[in-house]
Amino acid sequence: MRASNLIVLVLLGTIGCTKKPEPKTLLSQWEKQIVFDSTVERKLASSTNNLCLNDIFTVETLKDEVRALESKYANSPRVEGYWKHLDLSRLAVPQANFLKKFGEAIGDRTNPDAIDYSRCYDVPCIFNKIYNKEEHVAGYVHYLWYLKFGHMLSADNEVPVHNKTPGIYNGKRFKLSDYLYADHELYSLWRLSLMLKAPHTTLSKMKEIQKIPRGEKFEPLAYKSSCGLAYSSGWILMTDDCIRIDEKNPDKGSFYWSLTHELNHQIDFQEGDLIYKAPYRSHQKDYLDVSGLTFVEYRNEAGEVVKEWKLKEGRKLVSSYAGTNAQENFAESLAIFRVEGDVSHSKMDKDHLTFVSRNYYQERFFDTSSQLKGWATATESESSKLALNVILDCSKNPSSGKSNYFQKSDFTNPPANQILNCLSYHASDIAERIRAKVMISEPESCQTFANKKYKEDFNQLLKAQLANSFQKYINELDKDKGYIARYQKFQKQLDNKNIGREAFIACYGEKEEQQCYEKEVALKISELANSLLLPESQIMEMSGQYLSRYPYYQTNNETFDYYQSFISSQQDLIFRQADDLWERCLQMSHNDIDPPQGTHFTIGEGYMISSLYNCINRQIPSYIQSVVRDLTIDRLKVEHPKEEVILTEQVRPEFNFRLQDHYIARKKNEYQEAVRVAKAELEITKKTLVSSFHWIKNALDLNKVTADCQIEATRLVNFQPLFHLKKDLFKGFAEYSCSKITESPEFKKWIEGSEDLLSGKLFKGLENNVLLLATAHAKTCVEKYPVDNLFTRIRYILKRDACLFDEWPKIEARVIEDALKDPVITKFKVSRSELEDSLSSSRAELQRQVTKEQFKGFTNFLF
Amino acid sequence: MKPFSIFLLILVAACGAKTSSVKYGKTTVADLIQEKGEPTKKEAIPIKGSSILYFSDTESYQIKDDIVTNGFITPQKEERSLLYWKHHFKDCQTVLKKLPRKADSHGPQEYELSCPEEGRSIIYSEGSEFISRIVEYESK
Repeated sequence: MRASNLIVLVLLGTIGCTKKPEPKTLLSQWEKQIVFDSTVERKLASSTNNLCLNDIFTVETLKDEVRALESKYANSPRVEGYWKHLDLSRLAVPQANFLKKFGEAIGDRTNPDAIDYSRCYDVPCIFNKIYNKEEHVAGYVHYLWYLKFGHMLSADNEVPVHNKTPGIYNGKRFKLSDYLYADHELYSLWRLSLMLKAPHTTLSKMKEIQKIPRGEKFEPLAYKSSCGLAYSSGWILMTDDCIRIDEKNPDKGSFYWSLTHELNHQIDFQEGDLIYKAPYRSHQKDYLDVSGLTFVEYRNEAGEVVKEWKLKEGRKLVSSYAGTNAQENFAESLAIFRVEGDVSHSKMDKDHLTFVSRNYYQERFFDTSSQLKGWATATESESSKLALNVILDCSKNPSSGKSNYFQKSDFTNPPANQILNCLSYHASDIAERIRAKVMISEPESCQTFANKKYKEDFNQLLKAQLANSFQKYINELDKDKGYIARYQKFQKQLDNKNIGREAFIACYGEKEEQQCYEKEVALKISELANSLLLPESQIMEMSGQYLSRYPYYQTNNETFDYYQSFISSQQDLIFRQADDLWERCLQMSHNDIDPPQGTHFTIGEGYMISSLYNCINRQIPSYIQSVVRDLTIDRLKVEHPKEEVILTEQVRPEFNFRLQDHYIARKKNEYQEAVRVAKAELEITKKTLVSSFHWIKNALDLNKVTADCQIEATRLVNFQPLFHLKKDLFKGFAEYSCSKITESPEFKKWIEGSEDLLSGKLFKGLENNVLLLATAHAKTCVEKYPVDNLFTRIRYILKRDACLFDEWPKIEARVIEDALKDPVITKFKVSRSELEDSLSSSRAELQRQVTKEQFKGFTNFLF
Repeated sequence: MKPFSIFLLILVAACGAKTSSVKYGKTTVADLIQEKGEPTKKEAIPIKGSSILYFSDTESYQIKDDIVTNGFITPQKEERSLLYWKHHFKDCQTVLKKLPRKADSHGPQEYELSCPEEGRSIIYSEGSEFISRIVEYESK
């Protein structure tokens, strides 16, 4: 052990002795109630053959997995309510939650009673009825998908976003079975669910993965060539092209890459939304830097805003499609990284690989070499435990069957021949068992081990690992006979995931979370090791062992997974609080004056009147806080401040999901109500519009008259929407009310009258105004330059005229300025130059008139 | 000035969508540089006599023949919300246009929602609640 590490440990030990005990967490309380189950262990116990994942894809395996996942909810509060004949309080909590959340969106949407579910008492059975099958893998795969991912793998005949008419797509009618998955596709979905972890499994805004009818392309023209689509509103749509599986080897096929690619889009949307308040995470500078993408944005000659993506010189692209833009680069790189690890290593730059691994795959890599090492490391703790038992057995009874699995050269301090043979005999069996376990727990292992070289490489890794464990125990036993007994006690602590979880929670939100986690684990391990009187020299090694078994990213994932399950078990409480907030805010009187503020609750592309939006956003934090503080397990409430932060983050998506459900339902109702109002008010609106044309702002451009009319028609509707912009909601109504309004007799009559008004009243009026001002000014000129006798009349004649004529342009300008404010001038868009031209043509006549009247006619002869 | 008036002024400045001091269609490159400082980068675009000047990660300007024609601004704070802009443009006769995209792209369609009388547009993606860019230009 390095001296510096020892100092850190001693320091940590000192802090550990003096610091206050950490407050209890709900998580540890909850975990006490969960009985762990291991499908894999049971499978191994019943099998000695080398099975692959595909061999254990049976109802029995899936049922075991369901049972293990449902065990987390064993003591959760029951869900009240009914789904058809089912009393939800009698169902496992996640099943009840599923039916409450998605119960209306499954099966035959053309007729919800078309399928007889009356003999079903659980969710897998309900899904199997949709498939028209009994006790089949389909029901379990669909339900497991929900348990693992929190959203629905759809089994219904409505394609969201594209076509809301169930059973119809691309204008054709389809059977429900056309929307469902074949058995080999169900296997692939299950396999993929074993390949992905958080953040793929924690997409809180995801709603459904929907397959479109078999053999069809996407309905919108723009997407005819696409095989999968991801919508930020939480949908993934897949065509057959995206779920292609190699029928001979269902571990191969474009399906794995395609669905992972679409899920990556959802990560991009969700992180963009929740972390960066932006449409995409991938457009953030750190991702652009590692991917090597840049863009230039400009308005082209057609007036369109264009965003052109480029790859920096010398940078790699994982595929040509990854060069389309940052969001495709993100989806593509993360998918190929996971599904084709060897390809990603040759086609992605190192900093890009590291970024993807660290942020999206728990610091794992999936090239063959890394996977082999990863699988070996993951089994290290188990092989070490089994090795310890072998050491104990062989030291008591060294005789065994013959084996040359180990040679003396495999050890730095080789044991006696008889012991070596005993260890060899058992080690070979352990290695076989571990490899068999890896083959049914690591989705890619069977394919990898089909290659003899890789299989041998893995065997060598296991062998070295076992030799290392044996050597360590042999060395320690030489020094201290009581070591093994104490070490066995410590081994039990290694199974305690709570050490890692408590460390993770304590470090949550700290600047260097991972370093903090590792320090906390070391501290906790040293406390344990001290109590077992284990040599100090082994403490670091033990915390190292613990960290290799429960590394930061794994604990992070598992902890969030647990919290997510816990929150999901409290769905009823969360929904009740969300309902209360919604109703309270809805009951207020509403207006759209203030700008919408806050992003706790958001509504996608939609609209909401600002008073309602602001009410919800203002109050969400206190509502969520109250939900979190009401969460109890065995009368224990939240005590740990960091746990409160984590729970708040976990409750928010569920809370918002419920609010969004209300929003969508109310929006739909409002639309229907608006249709009713529009029908009722159409005739009266049309009449009102042609009864007065005061609403016209520009009478000379008929398109603008129509636009003004539509604004007025919308204003006239006596309906204040809360969930739409009024102009959007009544767009069709306004267009219909104002269609051909410029051809109506009322409009023609009004325009003729207005033209008379313009030419008569307006231009005559302008001249009159000039005359009035000029006459007033002429009087001041006469005061300065009198006309009281012939002498003064002649003497001042030039000055008097200059006094008036010099002022004339200013008089005309004043009259024009005033005229431009006249609504008629505005309405007919008469320009300043038109007014100037009009006055210019009458100027000489007007001047003659003023001088004649005000200067007594003596000037006449001078002109 | 009374403190209340100062408060009101600050409030108006803080709550209103900020308008640029750049007069699109009139401001020259020299004027722009005087106001923003030296650009960090200049990039050519495939329009004759045009280029883009970058002043930070959040601001760039399109230039044509020495005149600033468009500004591309990364939204900040509440301006990132699409709802904020829908509310801001509610009395404007807005125009919604699809942005051109590559034929094989299967991501969400991007849109430009513009208010010509204000000389501003926003760019957003189908289904998203946040906008990616504010585009400024000469108002009509």
